[in-house]
Amino acid sequence: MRIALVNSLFPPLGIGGSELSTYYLAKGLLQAGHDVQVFSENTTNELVETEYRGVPVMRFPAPPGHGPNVLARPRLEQELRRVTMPPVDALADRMRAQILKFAPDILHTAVLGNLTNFWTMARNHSLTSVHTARSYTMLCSRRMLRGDQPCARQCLACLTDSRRRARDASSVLDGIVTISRHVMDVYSGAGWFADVANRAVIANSYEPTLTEVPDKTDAYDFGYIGRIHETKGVEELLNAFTAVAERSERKLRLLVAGSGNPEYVADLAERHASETIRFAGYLDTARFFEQVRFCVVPSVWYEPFGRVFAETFHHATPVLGSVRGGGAETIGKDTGWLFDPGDGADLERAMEEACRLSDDDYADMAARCLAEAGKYSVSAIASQYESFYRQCLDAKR
Amino acid sequence: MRLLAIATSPLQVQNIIRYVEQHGLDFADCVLAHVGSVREEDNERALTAARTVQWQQIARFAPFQPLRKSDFDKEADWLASEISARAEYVIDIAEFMEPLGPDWDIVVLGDYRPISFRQFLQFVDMPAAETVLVDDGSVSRYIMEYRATGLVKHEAHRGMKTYLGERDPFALIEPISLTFFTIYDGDVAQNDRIVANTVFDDAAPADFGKVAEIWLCGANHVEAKLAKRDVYVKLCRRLVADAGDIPVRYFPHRREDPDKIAELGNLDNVTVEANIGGIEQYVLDGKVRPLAVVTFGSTVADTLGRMFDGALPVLVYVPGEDYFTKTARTQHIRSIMTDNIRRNIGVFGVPPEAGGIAKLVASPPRIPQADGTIEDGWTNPAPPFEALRGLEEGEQKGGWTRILETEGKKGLHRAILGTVQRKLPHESLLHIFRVRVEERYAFKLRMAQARGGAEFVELACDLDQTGSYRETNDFGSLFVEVAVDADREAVVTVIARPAMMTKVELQLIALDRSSTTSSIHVGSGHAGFSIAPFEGFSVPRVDAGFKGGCATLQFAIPRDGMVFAAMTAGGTNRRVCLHTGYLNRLASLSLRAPLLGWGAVPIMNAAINFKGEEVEKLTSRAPSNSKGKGIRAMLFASSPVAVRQSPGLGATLVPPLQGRSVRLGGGALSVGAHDLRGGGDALIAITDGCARKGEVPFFFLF
Repeated sequence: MRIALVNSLFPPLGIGGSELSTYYLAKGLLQAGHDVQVFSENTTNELVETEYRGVPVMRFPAPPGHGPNVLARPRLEQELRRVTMPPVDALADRMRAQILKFAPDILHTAVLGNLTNFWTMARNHSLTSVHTARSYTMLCSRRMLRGDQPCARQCLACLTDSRRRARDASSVLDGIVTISRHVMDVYSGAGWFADVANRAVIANSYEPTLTEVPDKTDAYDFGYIGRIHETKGVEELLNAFTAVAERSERKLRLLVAGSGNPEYVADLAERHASETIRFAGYLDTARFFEQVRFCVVPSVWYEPFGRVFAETFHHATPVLGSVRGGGAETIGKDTGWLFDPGDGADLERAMEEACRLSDDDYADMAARCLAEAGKYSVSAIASQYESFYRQCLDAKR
Repeated sequence: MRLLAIATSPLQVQNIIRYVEQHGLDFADCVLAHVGSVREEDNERALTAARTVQWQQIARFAPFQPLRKSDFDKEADWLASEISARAEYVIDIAEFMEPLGPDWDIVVLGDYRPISFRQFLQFVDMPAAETVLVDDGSVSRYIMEYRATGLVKHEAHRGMKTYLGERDPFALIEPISLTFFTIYDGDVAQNDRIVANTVFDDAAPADFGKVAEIWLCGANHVEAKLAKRDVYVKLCRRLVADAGDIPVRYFPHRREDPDKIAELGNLDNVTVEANIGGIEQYVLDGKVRPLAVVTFGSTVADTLGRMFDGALPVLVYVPGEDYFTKTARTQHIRSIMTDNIRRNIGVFGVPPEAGGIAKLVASPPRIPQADGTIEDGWTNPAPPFEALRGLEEGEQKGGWTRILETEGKKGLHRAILGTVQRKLPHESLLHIFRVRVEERYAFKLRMAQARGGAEFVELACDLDQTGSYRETNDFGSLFVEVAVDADREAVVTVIARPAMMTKVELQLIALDRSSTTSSIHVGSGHAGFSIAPFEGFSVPRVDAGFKGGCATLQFAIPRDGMVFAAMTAGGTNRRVCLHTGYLNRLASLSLRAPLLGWGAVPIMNAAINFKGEEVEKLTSRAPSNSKGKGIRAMLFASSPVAVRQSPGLGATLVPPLQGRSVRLGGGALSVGAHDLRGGGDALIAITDGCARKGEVPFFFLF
């Protein structure tokens, strides 16, 4: 198959999960013998045709104010740059000639602006279009959060006129993929992709680093890694840990890795000051996982997928995960526990069950996590996409 | 705590001082950079306000004034000069900031938008400092929304200067997180937060001395070329005339033309109160309250509404369109007026011709205060649908039934909501149900002959978009009102009037998208929506006291919709449907809802059409005729509805126009403050006493 992958940025540009996922997918598809071309944007105003680790990529010029916001410039700054520069064609129009020249069997879009124009282009040129929804961006400007409260469903304030139009246009796709069942449900509930018959849930991929279960004799009992924010449930974890630790006959320890609003982090650290709780700041993923027996993901927010779940499996670390969002779909009884982050007692229950695990049972569970990690390998995810592409092509014939 | 404040206007300075005081900070640790306005008198006022406290330092900066391209032959020359001018401006700031250093705990901005303010941030260690924005007018509201959603760009972009590219010495630094020190509330971006400015909330107006005056707060709309001077003056004259013997105290805006102020000051019974540090400070210093306050659409309505807390009416004069000039910027004033009225409790919109302010002062309206709830006690007897065609029932959860399309079936996918029959000449049929849109959000509502007859009347609508629709043909009339809540769940009200006394089906037909012209599409087994019956209601209860046997109730009624009010007297509940012309074409006196088990619900037209008086026609005609771009088209206008009480008959609701009265029964009368369908405010004011025949009652816009 000839597959065009379109994502806003592509490594080494960009720092988000979508760039990594696009790279892993391109790599997997190339390894499977397909012709792959990545179409992305540059961070400067010049066209670059290159290869990144064997993946052919075209980086299209990004006029000031129109390109991907890699430096996370504030909205106002972007807009002012845009309005004071000469008008430019929409991204799909700028890429059209090169995409058609590549003549893909599949036009696969991911995270970028102007999506409906790409899908319409595919329809107009009889290309088979597939889109992967990796986040809630198309539905919501606030990451499906109102204040600190998560939204389980798109709200009225987020249903702008432009989103209404895009929703109407979303059914022209040949296939829709979401990274979790939860993301599919949220988009469906908002009216998106309603008449797209080919649909699949395919998780993000991750490159394995471990081949055997490491020794964690002196590790922290529990660990949290990620942004420290109210929506991540860190406070709920600290409260539950404190309660469980008080009841425990042995000394339990908790490692909190990551950063956030300094005021909030300082407040949490002060209120939970204890020799058994360590706020380590930023830690490299590998360094974190080698130091913890169980990883806790207490998100109050509905994570679309949560790469951390795949990471825990790859690091042979059983996980205690929030029932909210896509991450919960990855956890089974063999690999961890689910809990309701709105119910402190439920998290305490999960932590106590984890603490009761014997060393042998822990080793078994860690081994099963490692085995589970295979589901998220580059080749496994590429294979799922390959099957899905064929399904879409067959349906179109 | 080191604090750097950057401000221009007196109000900004006052709010910064309030911030410092409310947080218990020491002014000796605070530096004020005053960026001047082009008006020197404004600068003097701001600095006078600033000098009321002991800052560590007050520094003055000239306003940045960009060069005009038209003054240059070549654009390149303009660009070079503009870059140079900006660079010089930044150097001035750098020289000021250099000895102070970059380490600040708090940076307070008087306004979010001036590009000159942001240049100070170039010399601040931004991640370490908390950035605070104080109120300057209602800008904070717009900035909250802009930072959270990207909407209202035009408000956030005002005051920004052209970006000159990479060589631009001006930095557009935008705080990653922002603290709003504000009197307003709202949804903010994830990194932002609100700290309430409580200065007006603690005013205790009940302890203020009363002065028998009407206060008129001047505006600079004329000076800003947004309003016509002659109309402005005419409105002021009218207010003074309407006030009769009551003295009027005029508080000029700081940017009003002295000649205009003098002209108004020469009117009989008018005193101009100039050279004060804002009307809010005047109130707080003097601890006085007038009989009423009248504004022309201003933040003053927000602040005084909070200070007086319903102790007296704060009115926003809502003029006709002849008030405004042709510039597009006048829309900003319309937005402020609408926000003043709709986002405050105790602030009322009034057209200047509304009955005379003396009348209002003599009998001020009461803002409904809820005292318990009206519980209808009714439970919906019917399932949410009678039959499904091309659809099938899915799971039930939380009272909602998921309805899915039959896979691959081409045709009409419809739910038969029920079969009903009109039985009386003067009645129409009513049904209310709830829909949660999911994959299907576009629908048709259809009234069709029962038993597969070919005749029907239908209309299309998105059920996650609030709105009202109507359609009439030979078969009958169909009116549909959709009210969508924040979670995109809709309460759908259907009013149907078949032309003949035949049985009809009410059908809900799923469409595949909103732009479709045909109801026929191929079913998707995973696509559907959820439906639920309309449930019993509970609305805040307001006790309507009577003086002299009569009171008037004013409802906020959308001009293209209706309000269902719950009323209870002597233990008997009544439901009344009020409108302002929307249902005229229905030609019915009452509604009956057989599917809900409701008997007759009287229909009452509360349109404004005061005969014999000089009142602009707002809603006396069909809504479609009165819809326009003007401020009055944005606001709802309804006539007060009189409730008369007599010993024998109890309370009776009397329509302002022709139509039947509604007997409510004896005993104490309570009125539901909200629309019983679960909507927002319905009852906005109660006034004791009723207008005499031919007399214009005081009325409000909402």
